[in-house]
Amino acid sequence: MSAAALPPARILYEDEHVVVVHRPGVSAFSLVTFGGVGQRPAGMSIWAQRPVDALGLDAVGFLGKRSNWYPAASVHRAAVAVREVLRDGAIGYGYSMGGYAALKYGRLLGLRAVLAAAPQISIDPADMPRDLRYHRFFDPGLHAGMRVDGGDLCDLAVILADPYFRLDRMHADAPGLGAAVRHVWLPYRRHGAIQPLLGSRVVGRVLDLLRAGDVAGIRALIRARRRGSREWYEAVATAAMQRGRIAQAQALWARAAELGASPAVIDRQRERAEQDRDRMPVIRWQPAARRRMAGRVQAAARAEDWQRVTRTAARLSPLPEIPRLAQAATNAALSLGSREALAEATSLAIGAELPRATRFVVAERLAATGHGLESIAVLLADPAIAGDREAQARAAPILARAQRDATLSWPWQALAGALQRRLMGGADDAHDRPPPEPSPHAFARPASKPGPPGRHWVGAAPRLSPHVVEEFRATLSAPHVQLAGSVAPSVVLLRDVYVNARGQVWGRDGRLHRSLGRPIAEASLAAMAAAPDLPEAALGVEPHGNFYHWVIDTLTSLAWRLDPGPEGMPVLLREDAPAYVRESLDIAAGAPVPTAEAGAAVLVRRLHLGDRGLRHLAPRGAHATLLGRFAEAARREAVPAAERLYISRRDSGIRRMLNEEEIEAVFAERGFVCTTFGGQPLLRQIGLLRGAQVIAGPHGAGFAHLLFCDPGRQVFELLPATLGHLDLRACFATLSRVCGHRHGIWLAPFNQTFGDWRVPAKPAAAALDRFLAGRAGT
Amino acid sequence: MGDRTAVASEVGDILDLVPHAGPAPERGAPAPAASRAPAAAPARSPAAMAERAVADGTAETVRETATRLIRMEIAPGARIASARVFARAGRGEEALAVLLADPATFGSPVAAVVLDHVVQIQGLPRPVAALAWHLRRRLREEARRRKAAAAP
Repeated sequence: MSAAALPPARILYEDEHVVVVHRPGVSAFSLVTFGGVGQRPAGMSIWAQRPVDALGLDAVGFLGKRSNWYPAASVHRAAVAVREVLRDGAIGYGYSMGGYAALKYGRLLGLRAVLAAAPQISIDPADMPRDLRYHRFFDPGLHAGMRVDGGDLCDLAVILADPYFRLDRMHADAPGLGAAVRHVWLPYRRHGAIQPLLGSRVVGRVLDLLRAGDVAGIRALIRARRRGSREWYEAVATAAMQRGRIAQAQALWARAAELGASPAVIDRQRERAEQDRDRMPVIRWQPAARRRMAGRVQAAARAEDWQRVTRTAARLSPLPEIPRLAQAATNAALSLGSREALAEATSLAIGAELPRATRFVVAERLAATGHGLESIAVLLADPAIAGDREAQARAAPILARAQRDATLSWPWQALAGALQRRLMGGADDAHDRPPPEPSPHAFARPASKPGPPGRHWVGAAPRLSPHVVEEFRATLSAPHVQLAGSVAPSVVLLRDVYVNARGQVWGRDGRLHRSLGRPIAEASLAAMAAAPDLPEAALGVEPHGNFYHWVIDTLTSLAWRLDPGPEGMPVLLREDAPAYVRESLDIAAGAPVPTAEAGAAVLVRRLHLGDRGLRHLAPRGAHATLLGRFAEAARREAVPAAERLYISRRDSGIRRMLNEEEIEAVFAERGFVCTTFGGQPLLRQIGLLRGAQVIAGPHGAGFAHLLFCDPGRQVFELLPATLGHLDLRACFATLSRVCGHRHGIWLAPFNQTFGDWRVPAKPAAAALDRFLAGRAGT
Repeated sequence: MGDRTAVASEVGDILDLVPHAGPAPERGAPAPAASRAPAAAPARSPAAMAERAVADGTAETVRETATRLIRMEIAPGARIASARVFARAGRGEEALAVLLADPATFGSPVAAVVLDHVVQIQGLPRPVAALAWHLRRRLREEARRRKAAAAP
């Protein structure tokens, strides 16, 4: 029969609940469609009319006049008329409420097969007490015995459903449906399981496969289409976002956009998905469950099971009651070296409402490990940073560090530079400051030549990633290590400058001369007006309160002043300088040294600054006299010597070694005397090191005393392989190089989430033996 | 001691070569030496500069203009307007970099007009897209909070 000769559509049956329309077509079989909750009768329209018309199908359409789940009495009455017009091999098709009807009435209508997308098997609260979606539509008068059971089904009932959508799954999997039911699972579609069937051609092909009973063919068809389906990408992106896989979701939405998805639609989907993500744990998880998950993250991070940390973190929103989640996820990703995990961890940190200190820690770590863009994104994701001076001071050095990432693209390089300068309170011009004036004072230049540089030995714990070892070896080959001690120090003079307890130096006009990477504090700027006025001083402020930085950077930078130097010129110190500062000044000068204090601000008319740092360190040159005084003073102390010395850090709360007792035992077995330096007089500490031939211990400021030792010592340093900052951890190896010691480094894993580490005893002992025997490192 | 220039290079690690603190140049005041060259170009508003760069379309011009806008001291409104030009032209990274280069603008609620466009742009690096999204979300939440607080 040609399409033109077809009889017009007509109503087969109508009552107060349903309308049934017959739209004759040219197909050899009939299709019975059942509308969903939202479709209402309108003339001769039926559900799925577009593919029906496009494919020329002979179709009978059921539509409910309300959301009434097609009451059985009405359908039974309509079935008589329907069966009369159906052609051989009729099949059924419905979605949601329509899917229910296709299942329920397939056998009644004499259908060969039905396709039910996201169907219910009942809305009776007694049948489905946990699916609250449709209970309000349940009417005991209409729906008695409505549940679908095996006897209702035709020979083949194909159910399309999302296996991960709990509410639809409980219907699709309901017991009692029997062998007639076959499933086609469509992950992440939630209740939108009809989506893959959009389009007349695909409907036609699926119906052909349904008639042929080829369920595997239906599965294969849908699977093959999903790569080109923007709806699939949208659905999976939404699911990814709801599960906290933010970066993955972004990538999937990007693909959906390439396939034509509207940016505005994606925007809305993302907003909803994100709300779902943030709400889901709160709704579904009881406090006990949250505590359990938090415990899992902590336990996995403690065990350094980074895969598990990454997996668990992906399931969690960054809830405030899950401490260290962002740090743990970041550390896990960095430890694994996985780009995907890093993308997820970064997205988590960007999206999380992190305490500000945590945000800085994560951003700093990313910057230190060469992930400049990720660092900037994490840092700037909190707009509150812009309005807080203290926060700006923390952010500036992170931006400076992020700029060192050579892979950072130009907009972000420019942004980081400009923003850092603005946070520092500076204008965008660094060129018109006059160069500093040379000081009339200078370091001594003894004629003796530097001795041969010390040698390095590197080993590592077995579990440690090879790239960490390589990174450390590269650090030891870097120019700042190789050139240490090679540049003669000099002294410069700054006139009419302010100095504060942070060691920052700035002019009356606000020009920064020495920033230490931070803007001048508000309190310092405010204190300028009433600042004490000093005619002259040598800069001796050590801002970190750290023994290493005091000895190696600051004290040595004052050698010109203490040698014996200009009489009466005070050394400017922090007002809260530790006791060892004044003590070591007096030892270095061989007499009490006048000092002055830098609080919020002090005005110095003539401020002298000596070169500082390992680059300028000359134990046999400019610093020889200073070091000689320490040696002499330590000799007078007559400290009992131990040939092998282990400097323990049990007295320190920083970088705590969890098994230091066990490690000390390893060293003690090899003749080491174990000692802590906390509370010991300075000269005794120096005396102990000077008396030892082999010095060992975990990385710590006690190794700064290597400066005071005669060349040729053997040093064995247990080094925490922190992520980033490995270059900084090479400081003692560099010091040994300048001082002519043989320096062994044994790298061991460090748990950055908790800030502690556990040194594997047996491999450490084996490495120590190799080092002591003079054999090569690993 | 050597001459002043030699000393300056020798002590480079002591004295950070950071720019001077102090107020930004006033409008109409002569530009400092380093920024004199760009200032010699015909006077144009930042948004107009961005428009011209976007219309030109070459990567070099866009890069040069965006970098200038990032570094220039410009009023927050002008910064946001120029960032929006880049965003509307689909240049999300340039837009964000111009917007975020000044603390006065990246925490501003008005920044949302730029971010609204940036979040619609596909193909941005993941951290950039996430940053734009969450900044916008936070600015919106902040605006809602402010509105609720202002309500009688």
